[in-house]
Amino acid sequence: MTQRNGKIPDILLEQYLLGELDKSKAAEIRSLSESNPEISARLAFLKASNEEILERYPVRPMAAAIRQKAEQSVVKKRSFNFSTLAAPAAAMLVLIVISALWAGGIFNPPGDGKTNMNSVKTDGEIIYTKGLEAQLKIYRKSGSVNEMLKSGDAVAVGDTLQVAYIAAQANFGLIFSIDGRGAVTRHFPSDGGAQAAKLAHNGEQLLDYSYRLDDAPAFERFFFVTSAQSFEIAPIMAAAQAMAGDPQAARNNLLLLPGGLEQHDLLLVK
Amino acid sequence: MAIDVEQYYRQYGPLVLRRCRYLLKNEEEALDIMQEVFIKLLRNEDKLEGEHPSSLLVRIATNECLNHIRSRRRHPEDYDEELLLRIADATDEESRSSARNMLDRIFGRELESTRTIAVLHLLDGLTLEETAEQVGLSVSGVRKRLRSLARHVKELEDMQA
Repeated sequence: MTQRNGKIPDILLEQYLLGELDKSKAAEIRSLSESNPEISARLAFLKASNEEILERYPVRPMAAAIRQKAEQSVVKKRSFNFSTLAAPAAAMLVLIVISALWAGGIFNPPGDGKTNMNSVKTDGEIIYTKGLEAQLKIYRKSGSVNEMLKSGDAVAVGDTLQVAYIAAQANFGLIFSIDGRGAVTRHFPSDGGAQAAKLAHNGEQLLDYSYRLDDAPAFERFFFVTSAQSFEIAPIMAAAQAMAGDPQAARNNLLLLPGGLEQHDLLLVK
Repeated sequence: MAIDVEQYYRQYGPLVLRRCRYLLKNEEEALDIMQEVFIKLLRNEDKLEGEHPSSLLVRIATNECLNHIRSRRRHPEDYDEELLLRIADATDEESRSSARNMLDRIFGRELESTRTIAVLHLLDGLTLEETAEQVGLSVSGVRKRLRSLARHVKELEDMQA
């Protein structure tokens, strides 16, 4: 090994443990580890650290999160290209689709509490329209009027919010929010159960209770995590708690979720 | 060559996370960048041919961390978290000032691979030969890059004088 001043770099010890150093360097480190307590202690630390990391961030969920993130970044890029290059055309398309749905009686305006956006009723049989995604909806209650809020809308302390969802193709779901103070609040299911709630499919579903905003600063971000299969709530809430510790991440980042789960979010600004 | 993410994460995840922790000093950011490193690996799996994955992963991780720090530096509130100050804290007093001055300017002027070379050599303490092995260049190539970097640093220092 080339003469150096100071200690052997960690990178070389890492590669020694991985068996990816050339033979002469590996032999030198092996020899040093037998005679030099500092080297053997550092190698032992790395081994223990390996175990700690894999225990703290287990292989399967982490690999699933990486794969999902890779897929999401591809989707994001495609969405970006579509929206930036063909924004007017996209807006026209959306208008046409909404008009068609409206004319066909599929789309009912929000506010009646039981709109039916993702299903069509024919001869008593409900047919679920394909291609529609699950949706998270937030209304601001003001007297008898429910104002539908969109992501980025401003809200204030004391506003009363009604949370709703549309299941579309999803069968199970979890709704929670993170505020600018880092607090994570679970909204649905509200029974304290360990599993995600079975979603209702007959149109838009209002949660059983409304939600009064407290004085947490900056923002309130709602998440709707959905899946075709039942899933455990605890890992999702743990991911949310981890993200909530960093206000910037809580405001902008996506949750790290295992495969098979989708997320929908809505950010309200204070 | 299809990458088995589970196998790669099991084998190299701890190495990559430690690398990101070391450079970023923030667990959540390190975790996020570690995932980005594996995503980059998935997209560049052809580069795995003929070299040890650990070398490639260390280089990708170093680049990703430097890019992250550079974007963080654009936000004034993040200034105190600047990587180079932490890096300087980890070096001995004698090299502290020059390492900080030199590395501080790398972010603005130098090519990505040169930044990685600089971090491996100046920060991690790899010799020129070891640095060359890690980045797949000749020793003279590494020396040339570092000389170029030093020249840019001098130019910047002269401009500021």
